[in-house]
Amino acid sequence: MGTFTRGAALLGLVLFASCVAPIQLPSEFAAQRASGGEFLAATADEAVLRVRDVDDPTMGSNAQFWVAARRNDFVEQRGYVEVAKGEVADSAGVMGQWIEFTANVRGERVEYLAAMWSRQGGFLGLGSAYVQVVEFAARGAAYAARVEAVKAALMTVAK
Amino acid sequence: MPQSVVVRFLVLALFVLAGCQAGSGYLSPAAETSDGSGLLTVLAEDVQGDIATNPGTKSGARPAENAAPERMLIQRGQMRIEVVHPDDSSRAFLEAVKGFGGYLAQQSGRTLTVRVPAARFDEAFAALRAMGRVLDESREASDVTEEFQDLGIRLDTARKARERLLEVLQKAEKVDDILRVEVELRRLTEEIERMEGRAKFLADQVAMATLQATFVPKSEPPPPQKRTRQRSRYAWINEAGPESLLEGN
Repeated sequence: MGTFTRGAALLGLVLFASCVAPIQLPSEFAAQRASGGEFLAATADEAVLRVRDVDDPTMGSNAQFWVAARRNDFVEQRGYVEVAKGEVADSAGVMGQWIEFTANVRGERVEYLAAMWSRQGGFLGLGSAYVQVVEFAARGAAYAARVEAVKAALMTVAK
Repeated sequence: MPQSVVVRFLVLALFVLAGCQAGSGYLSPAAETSDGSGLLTVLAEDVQGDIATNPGTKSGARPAENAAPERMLIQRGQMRIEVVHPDDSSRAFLEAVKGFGGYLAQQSGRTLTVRVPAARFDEAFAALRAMGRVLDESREASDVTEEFQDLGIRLDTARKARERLLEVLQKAEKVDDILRVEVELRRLTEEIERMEGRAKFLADQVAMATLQATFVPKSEPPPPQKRTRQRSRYAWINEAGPESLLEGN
């Protein structure tokens, strides 16, 4: 393969990756996977960021509902500790909710941030409802070093 | 006009005039004494009035009235910050404070109160923020420009009054006069010392900002859940969480 072909292929790959990324990745994150409504990125020290669309099994609940449902499962069932929560506007100004937990996963402290937006799919929003979920998890210092950058990146999330 | 009415009017006018005379504080004591001791009373009242009220209006315009004064701000701040190793972080913070020209004013457990030059307060605050996860923080600035200026003017007036009293003391010949001047001098000296103390305190508070830092150790991970977990009715929530993210499921 010639240099030009390789360069063009690489450029195409970069452009493709940047087109499909539903979030502007903070520095140090590298895209890992973008398929089937799921986008995954990670850092070298294994802080992981995932964006995915999941079907809304309700009749289009709002983001507060999903934060409450998630909190119920994480805190009441899994024993996570809620650390903080708040609101965030995505790149189109649509308000979503975020919530942070600290958890014990097999004896190890890990921290976790989830942000959610309730969306309507299809052309002109005539399709079925779904929830766009951004998750960020890491261990110890890897989390603390990036959580603010990830929170800032939530404002770049696109439908 | 009937004569009785005229007489009553004159009597009333006399009372009013007498009242005016009695109300004039500067005139009556001197008028009462012929030996000059009334002068001391006048002076004492003068000084008391100078200190108790705003003296600037007595001697004309205030010195700083027309100039736009530089704001004198007392800056204070506090921050609670979660760190992995509080003792190491405290030491590092104190080193940074020394670098800013500040010092440790008080320590209580993991709470340090430091003083830093006001000009470097922002830098100290930023350095502290960078040490961990900020749990809460607050800052405030109190403007003491007016109080400081008033103190300066009152001090100036009180010092001049003391000089005048010292002159009077040198001229006084009667023991009674000397004692009265000395009492007034003592009172005035105490007043000056009190005001000097306050001015010094304000100047120090303005020059050195106060920052209180509390280092909170990062909490232990919560214990693993022992009872059987009930799965959420929403399948995607069951799949969500740090377990699946970090373990690549």
